[in-house]
Amino acid sequence: MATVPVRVAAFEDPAGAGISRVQALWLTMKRKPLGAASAALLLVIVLTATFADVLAPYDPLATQPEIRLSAPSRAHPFGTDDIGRDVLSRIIYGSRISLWVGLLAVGIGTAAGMVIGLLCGYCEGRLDLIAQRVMDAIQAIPGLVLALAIVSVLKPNTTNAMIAIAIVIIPGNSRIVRGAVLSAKQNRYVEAAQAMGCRHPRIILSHILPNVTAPILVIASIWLGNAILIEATLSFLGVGTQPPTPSWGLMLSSTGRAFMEQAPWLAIFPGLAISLAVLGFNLFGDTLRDAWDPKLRRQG
Amino acid sequence: MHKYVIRRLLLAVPVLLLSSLIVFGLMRVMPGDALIALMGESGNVGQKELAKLRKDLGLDRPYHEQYAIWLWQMASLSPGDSIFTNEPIPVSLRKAIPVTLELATLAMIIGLVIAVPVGVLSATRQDKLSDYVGRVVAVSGLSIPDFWLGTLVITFAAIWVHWIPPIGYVSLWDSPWRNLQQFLLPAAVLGFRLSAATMRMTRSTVLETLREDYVRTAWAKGLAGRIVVYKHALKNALIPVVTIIGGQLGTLLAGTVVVEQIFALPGMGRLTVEAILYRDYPVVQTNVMLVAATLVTLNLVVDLTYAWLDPRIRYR
Amino acid sequence: MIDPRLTQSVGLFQFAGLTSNRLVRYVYSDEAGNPSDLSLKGDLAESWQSDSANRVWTFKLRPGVKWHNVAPLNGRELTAADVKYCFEAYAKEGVQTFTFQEIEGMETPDTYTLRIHLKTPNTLFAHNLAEPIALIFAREVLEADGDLKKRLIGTGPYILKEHTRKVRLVLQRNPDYFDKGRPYIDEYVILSTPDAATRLAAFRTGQSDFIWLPSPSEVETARKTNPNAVVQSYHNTLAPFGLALAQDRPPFNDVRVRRAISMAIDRQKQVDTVFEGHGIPGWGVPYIYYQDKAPTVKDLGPWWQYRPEEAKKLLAEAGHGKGFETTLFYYEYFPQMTSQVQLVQQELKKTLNIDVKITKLDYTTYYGRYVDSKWDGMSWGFQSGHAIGLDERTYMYMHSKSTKNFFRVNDPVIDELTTKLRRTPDRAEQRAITKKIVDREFDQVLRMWMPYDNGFLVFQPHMRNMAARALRRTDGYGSSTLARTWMDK
Repeated sequence: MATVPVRVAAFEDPAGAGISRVQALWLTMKRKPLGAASAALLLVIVLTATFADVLAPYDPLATQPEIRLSAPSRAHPFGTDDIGRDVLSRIIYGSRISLWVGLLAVGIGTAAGMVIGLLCGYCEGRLDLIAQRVMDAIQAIPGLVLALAIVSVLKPNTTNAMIAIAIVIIPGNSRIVRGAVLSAKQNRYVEAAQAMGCRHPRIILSHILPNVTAPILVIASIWLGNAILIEATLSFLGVGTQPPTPSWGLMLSSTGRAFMEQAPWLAIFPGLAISLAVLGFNLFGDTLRDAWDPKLRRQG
Repeated sequence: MHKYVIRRLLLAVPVLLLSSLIVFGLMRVMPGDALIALMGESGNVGQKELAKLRKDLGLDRPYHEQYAIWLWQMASLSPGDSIFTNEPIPVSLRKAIPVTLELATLAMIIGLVIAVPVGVLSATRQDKLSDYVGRVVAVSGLSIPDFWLGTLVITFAAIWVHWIPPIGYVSLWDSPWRNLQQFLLPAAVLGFRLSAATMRMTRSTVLETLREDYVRTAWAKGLAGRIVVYKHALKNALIPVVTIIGGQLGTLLAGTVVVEQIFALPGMGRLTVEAILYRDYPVVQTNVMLVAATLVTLNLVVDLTYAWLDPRIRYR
Repeated sequence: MIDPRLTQSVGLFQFAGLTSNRLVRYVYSDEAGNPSDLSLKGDLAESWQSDSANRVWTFKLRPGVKWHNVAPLNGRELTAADVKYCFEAYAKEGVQTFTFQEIEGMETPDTYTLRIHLKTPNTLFAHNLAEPIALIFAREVLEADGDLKKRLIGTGPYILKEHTRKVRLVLQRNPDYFDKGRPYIDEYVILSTPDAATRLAAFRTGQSDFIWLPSPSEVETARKTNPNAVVQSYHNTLAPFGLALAQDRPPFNDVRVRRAISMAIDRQKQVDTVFEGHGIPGWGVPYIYYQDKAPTVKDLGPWWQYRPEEAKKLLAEAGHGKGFETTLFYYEYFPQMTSQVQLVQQELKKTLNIDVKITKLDYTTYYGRYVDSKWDGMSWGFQSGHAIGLDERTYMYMHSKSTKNFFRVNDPVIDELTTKLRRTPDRAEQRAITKKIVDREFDQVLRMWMPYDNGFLVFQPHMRNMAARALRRTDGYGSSTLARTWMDK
């Protein structure tokens, strides 16, 4: 099946400088301001989500219909929505939902994908053949349609949207891990270990896993952005997050669109939040790739 | 080479069967019933009438029977009728496929026309301002939800330009000018997102190709060398781009769902989503299978092209 | 398309009302004395009368009405036998069986006369036949096709020329229509546009000729780009939506719980904020049937006022002082509904500590679950969109035995009063009985109505003679109005 060429680094440290992954990342960020900016952006989002209770000026669920649809002002810097809730507070709490959606969907998808990919790549043979066909079968169904169908089966809510997105992610991830494992297996260290009679789990953990984490993290970071977008689209189709949850996707697709001309701030802020978050994740993924891809690193 | 082709073809069959099983299973597990949608905002269709309808549509048979029947219908290329509209599915497909095909093709053309030149430019001027701008624009394209972009486009077209695409789809053969007007904006919206993804990939593959040894040698040779380099580098860089297009097909088809809804185009995307929401089992199963088969076939073609161009892959 | 016997869906009747007629109809806007005039006029029937017991109804058809000049009818004349056939079909299967099974027997003593014998007296029977869904369809089509899904041939002002699913519907003027001279408009096209933003854009750019908007601010934004558009401020005579409770089981079978919930909701505030003042607090039976002015919140009685302290006390009396948990499912018919649902959720939590978990569903799941009437908890539920008649809105929707009783009303006083109503020919007495029904409904909070918009119809300036009137907009179920419209272009 056609895949996106993500380079898998057998981390041989060609520069010979003996630096760790983290150091490589730090150096890359120093060199490329875009990378540093995206890391900062992500940090802001994570901090906002963590300290939402402290940062948010109002209860995101508290309704005050008398001041509905008011424009941004000192009291409400992002304005109020269709039933008078403070948009700023909802955006702040929304970061929690978006991170939650992203992390859970991508977490599950990545973990499951990794397990499958590791098994397939390491063991090969019939298990590999069957599992890969199942993965192909899932991938043959367009992601949004599959997610829509899954959410329609389970009840429509945030958690089930995450599960649906996770399932959509698994095949792609498993394939990347499998590829990484296959090429890592050709590494001399692995051959030597096998010749020495090392047990399989040890080989996997010490030699294969480190080579797999790099591409996984790159893809995961990009999928975090995608997960937020898919959740927003599911909300647009009516089967995503439930009101009154302050998810950015729900805010944009329902009230944002409905009151677009009377109260454009209802769409601008969630739209901006989504875009910045996805932007941040994508650029950060790029930076990770730049940092850990030895071929590019060699060019300094 | 032949063995490779045959092997890949044979593997495609179980994949499609598995896909069909997944879709069938999902549809049956969904709560709600296709018959409910038929009633609109009515009072009760009595239990007796419901039971009769269910029997007529074969929904009361055990699941494995329903699956076998449907498989047989698909194999003999006669997928039956829609539960909701009673229209034979091939008829609705014949109407919906050209719409989505046209939309996807136009979007891909627009996407590539934007993406490839910008990607190449970005790669050759790496880390300069134009690279940054290009990358940020590209990533923005990936970050804006397409339903949002579509809504903005149609609303502000009406307000600023006082024009929106004429509603009420006409086919390309009936009225080419009107048809192109209808597809311009939706294809642009889809194409913009497509170009974003393609741009970044083009950039990175061109970057890699530019680092190849043969390229560096050619560079060192001077001006004439550079032109040779562009020709070679570009050619090799574009091979993965073909791959990328294959990878983007799934995204493209998913994107049509939203765009067709906003721009009122009666395509496959809209048909499938509505069928899922109305629990119109035969339509969903058939549509998804059709798309899956298309994706599998296209990926196969891409892989074969890849294998033909790069002999190393054949012998894995 | 959907078979008219099996549905009340507005999707069908927005054009079926133009291709077909009923036996009798309500007045059009240009015939009406005032916006609340609901007198009957003959459609296919020229005149009608009932016997003194209101059990035998005789309808005289107008002669010379022709079916559409389309095969297999080919413009033949309409006869009483055609009407009899339709009513028998409606009684046999579909959503109108409850209404038409009241018919004991029918005769056609001559080509243009139809005599109907009812099982029980019903003074409002003619009104039941005036409902927009009681269409007279062609027997030949049903016999040839086995159903009415493929072809829609009628006697109406428009012929269905093209029906492309998900794209457009084209209706063309019927030159042989019995109302000579009408319709004025040669062609009426309905474009399938699922997205609200696109619909507004279409109106703005002149691709559509009229549109429905719920709130004043949306009308203002439309007017910014289309300053010459004509706006009709509509006034609803009832609310189609309310908080439906599973009142056949605890905790909602206790009238104190229902009253408490009702008092915890600030209806006036919803009207003032969500509907920007242009709405009604909500009630179920069209007020024009029992009084002249629209009720205000005060008129609805003690249990419909916003009194949170009383509500808390009453709920505690009923044994739920600590509150409880419940669920609410709904479908977002329009965005303001989601605003309302969330406001109600907040109020119930704050005042009564009732934790409502909201589930927004897609149309199919919502509809199926709601109509099934087995759900637990709450729903933002509807009565129905099409009904104009008094009998429909009382007996059909509130009698404990009715199949259309979605709110699960089960009250012997209501049963008695609604049955008595349809045996009362005197208009003044009808009004009195209706008032009693409504008072009982409010007192026992049998259906908890919620605020609803009044809405606006916005027309392009070249449209003429298109006003909507009580219970009847110009689109949807009121589509037959279009037969009398013309344009100055």
